[in-house]
Amino acid sequence: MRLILIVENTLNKLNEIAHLPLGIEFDHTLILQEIENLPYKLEKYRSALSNDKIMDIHDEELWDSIALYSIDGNVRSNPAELWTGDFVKTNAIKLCPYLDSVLQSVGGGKLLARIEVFSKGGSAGWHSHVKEAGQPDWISVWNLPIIMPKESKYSVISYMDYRGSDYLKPIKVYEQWYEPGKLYCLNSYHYHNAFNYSEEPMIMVRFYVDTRDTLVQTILQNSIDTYKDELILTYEEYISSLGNS
Amino acid sequence: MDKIKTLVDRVNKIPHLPVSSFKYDAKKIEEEIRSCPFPLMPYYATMQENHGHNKSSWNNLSLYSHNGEIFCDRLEGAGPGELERIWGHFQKTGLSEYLPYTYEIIDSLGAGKALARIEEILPGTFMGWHNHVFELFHPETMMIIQLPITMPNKFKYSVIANQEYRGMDFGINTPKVYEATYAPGIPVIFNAYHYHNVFNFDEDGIRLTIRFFADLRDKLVYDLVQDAVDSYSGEYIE
Repeated sequence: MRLILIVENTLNKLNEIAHLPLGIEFDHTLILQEIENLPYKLEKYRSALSNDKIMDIHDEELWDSIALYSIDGNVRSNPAELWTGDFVKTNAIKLCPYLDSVLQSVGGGKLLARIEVFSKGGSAGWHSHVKEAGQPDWISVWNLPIIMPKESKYSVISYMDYRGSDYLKPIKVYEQWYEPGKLYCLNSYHYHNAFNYSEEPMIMVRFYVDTRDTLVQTILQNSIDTYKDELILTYEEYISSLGNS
Repeated sequence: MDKIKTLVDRVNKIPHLPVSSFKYDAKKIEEEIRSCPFPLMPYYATMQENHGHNKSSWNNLSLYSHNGEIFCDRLEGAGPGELERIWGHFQKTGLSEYLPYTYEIIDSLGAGKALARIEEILPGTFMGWHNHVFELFHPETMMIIQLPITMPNKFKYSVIANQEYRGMDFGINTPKVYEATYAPGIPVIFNAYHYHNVFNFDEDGIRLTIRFFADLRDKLVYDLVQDAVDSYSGEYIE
């Protein structure tokens, strides 16, 4: 019972943080070498989440991907892959021992993990895993930034603003550049996106973890405890702020 | 079918399309609604749950429903293939006994094969941005027709293009919002293809409207919409 309460409290707090540095460092240059040596080509990818049914956000495909852990074991990322299931190593992660050791050391490897690349102008499209795609609330989305051009960023908007603003004034966007070599948790409860405006590619490893896992729980709790930056308004705070505006 | 597709492409680019050739007596509809013994009931649409607003501020009753009930069903036609499956299997509800003029008007505009509802949006509230084609899986031939009955001063209908709503970097840009107020007495087709929302920023005025679905594959509807598109002189969604 106590563990459930701790998990709930952590999740509630986590939902209020747009970008949470997890205080874990890794050798991104070594991971880049492993990625560059892969015999697999990055495949064009269009998320079923962000494009809903068939919506084209971009005129051309600017998002490439390789699956590291997938349900069917295929290196080609499947937009229809379920949130949960028996995820197994693909041949790609088998050729990236250091990357695999990093993932496993922080609780990864049990759910989806992918290498992702945005070329110039690339973005994912605004989406919320929890609010519109059925992601279980115990999944947390973590990112290992490998190459992050200065003109790239991750962005988060509260679902209340995204779905409720009249957009006549700029809405609050929580933006952050992720430092290569440091592990981050990206808020998947609210609407989020990533943008790359550089000529250079933006390369990251995105993977999911189970927040009920003790190791994951410890990493998150320690990071939340030391987090001092701004928080996203709760629904109640948001409604109250409307009354005051 | 090609001509329907052509019309779909044209109407998808129009945020708010008045059907100006058709007029109705909004006062008479309001009188019928207000003298009906059934009060409008609070409604919690599935899409409202994630949109961060006061859920008790949207009231409605069904004029046509799939099960014939006057209380609106949350899932009436939402989901892949669902509206196509139940299209044409809607029934007049018990309100037909009390609202003869209202039914006469909506029937003459092609209502009856899918949902038709009386709806109120209370002051200080909004509905939430959504999209019928991509989020609810409605066919592109499905038109949302609004019959405004009472329209508060600070009420507005808004549309944002799909690509901007889903793809724009809101940290450096604001989207183009196509806003309009609707005049009671003239039907308006509210764009269902792109993202849309309604806002009642009025302090005390209630927006009362009839909203129903009609399909361009029906000749009556096709002709009405074709005529409206040909007469349209407003802005187009870029």
